[in-house]
Amino acid sequence: MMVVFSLGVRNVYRNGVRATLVILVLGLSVGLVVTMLKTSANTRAQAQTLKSQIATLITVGSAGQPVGGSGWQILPGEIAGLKDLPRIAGVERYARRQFVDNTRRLQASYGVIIGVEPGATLRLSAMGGFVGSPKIIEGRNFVAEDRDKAVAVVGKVFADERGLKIGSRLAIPVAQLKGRGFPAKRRIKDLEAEVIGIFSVGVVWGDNQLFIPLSLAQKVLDMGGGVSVYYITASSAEHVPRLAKSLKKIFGKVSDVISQDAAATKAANSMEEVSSTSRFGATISAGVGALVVLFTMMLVTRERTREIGILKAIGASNGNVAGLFITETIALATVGAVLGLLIYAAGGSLLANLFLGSITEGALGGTGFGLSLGDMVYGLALALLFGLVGSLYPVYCAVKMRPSEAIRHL
Amino acid sequence: MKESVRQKKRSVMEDHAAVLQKVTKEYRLGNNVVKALDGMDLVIPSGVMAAIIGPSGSGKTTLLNVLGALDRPTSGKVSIVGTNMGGLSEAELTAYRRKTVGFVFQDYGLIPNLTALENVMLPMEFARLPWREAKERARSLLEAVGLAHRVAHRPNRLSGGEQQRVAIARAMANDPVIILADEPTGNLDTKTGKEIIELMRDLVKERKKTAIIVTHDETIADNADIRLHIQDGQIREQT
Repeated sequence: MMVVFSLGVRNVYRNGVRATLVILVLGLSVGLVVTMLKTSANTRAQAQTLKSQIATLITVGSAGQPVGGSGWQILPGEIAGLKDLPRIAGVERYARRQFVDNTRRLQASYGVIIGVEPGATLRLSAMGGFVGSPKIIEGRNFVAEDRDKAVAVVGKVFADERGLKIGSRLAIPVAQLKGRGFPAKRRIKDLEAEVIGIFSVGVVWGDNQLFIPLSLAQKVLDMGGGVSVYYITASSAEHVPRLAKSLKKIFGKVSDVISQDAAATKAANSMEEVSSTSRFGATISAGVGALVVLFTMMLVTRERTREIGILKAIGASNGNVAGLFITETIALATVGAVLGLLIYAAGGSLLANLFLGSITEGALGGTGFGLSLGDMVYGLALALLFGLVGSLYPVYCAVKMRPSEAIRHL
Repeated sequence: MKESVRQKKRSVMEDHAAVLQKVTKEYRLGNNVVKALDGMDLVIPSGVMAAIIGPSGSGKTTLLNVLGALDRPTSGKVSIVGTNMGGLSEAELTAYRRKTVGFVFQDYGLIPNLTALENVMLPMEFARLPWREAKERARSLLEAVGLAHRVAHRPNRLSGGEQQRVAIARAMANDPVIILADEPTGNLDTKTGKEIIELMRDLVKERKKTAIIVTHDETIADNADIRLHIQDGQIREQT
């Protein structure tokens, strides 16, 4: 069947312009479907991560100080029983202090210094809601060696306002750190540190904050080993209510215990909506791909009616005729798949943002669009499916054609 | 007694390439029924070159389609080399077209994106002949029609006469019993047409085939062994 196979492949290029256009549309369709499905999978995974990360998170802050920036603190002795509690997957300690710089424009005058242990999640001080996860846009995050160093990872607004670059030295004087309600007996110092990283969340409140190592924060703010807030991760979301109850029972007098499962569920639901939208987009793209093949093969069958008649007259069986068209469709779909995968590899991230816009921003983070072997197999299988679905009816018409009528066709 | 009559009849059928008994073929055109073949009786002996002539619309091509199993008759009996065509399934008709008959068309009917060699190989591939064997046989057939030097050319690089020679080689591909040609010289000049008919005659004689040629050309008809004049779906004259 070498000649029959070869004829099927060669038939693809009988009309070069049409073949090129069909391959382009098919390629775009495959590229879009793979992109949309990948976006859907990515956002679903992100939603799951968000649910597992935030839905399991319990904040234990100094009582009456939800922002944790007032300078009040929880001393180690006050929360000593924490380590004995079951159902805890992790504990992260944070020191926070608000600063006010009246020399800046109003929007950038309020900020927060956050002390974190190197390796811990960079969590911004939220005021009125989740401000997003910081993304390092320049320099680096903390590493273990930074534990006792005077270094800082600052927000973009904070850096821009002060003309700070990586390697610059920043200074926040005591006057800006003191304020109403701050315990007078604590001897706070000027903060001086070297900028090692700049982050952004795209929100002024978030981007006017800065992270420093916890030990430096405790030293500058004279916290005596205390912290402003504990982020406690429950071993699973189901354990959160019972764990929060236990925490309230033990530390209720000195701390406010807040679980964030509701907020996380809301955020995760939004991501799942993006996931559904992507799947819908993928379905539409797949439909367009199959329709393009259908119309093309219908046209081809019509154009080659007499040829089909001649093939039948010289002994082609229905299987031979079907095989010829299916080979042509497979060849067309394979070239379309290769193009589609190239489109996906080169511009998957761009396409996702173009079609899903700002809802994917941050959620996708430009990650997860690499071309894997699985994607290639998937793209090819998809294109073949479009091809086979689209050519089903035209092939049926070609097979059912009566040779005498087909030969009369001009 | 009855058995010996039956055997005699069968023997007569097998001695003839084609036997048609009261064959009709009707087409429906809107509300009208057109009789392309009207109770036709015909016997074509084996090993002859038969020319079918007649005016346009007389039923020549319909007769060829019925003989080539491209169409089924509305009624009557068609027997080709002893096989009653009426009892064959679609798959058996396909096998019949592949093995028993070879077609030659007025416009050659070659596949434009295949070379001359591949065009001749095509029916052999349909017959599942091994590729190497099919290639060898296609080469030898193209040599027999004088196109050994044009095997790798596509139809658009061949003259009309050369294309028709490729079509004749293709018709002979599976060594059929009957060659059916529909106006084989219709698109050719007189000289080339004459050459094609001579080639067909030589091949038919040399390979002991039966050729049934539909034509308007009186000179072709004059050179045929049998001349059948068809009009209004019936044989008016047989010489």
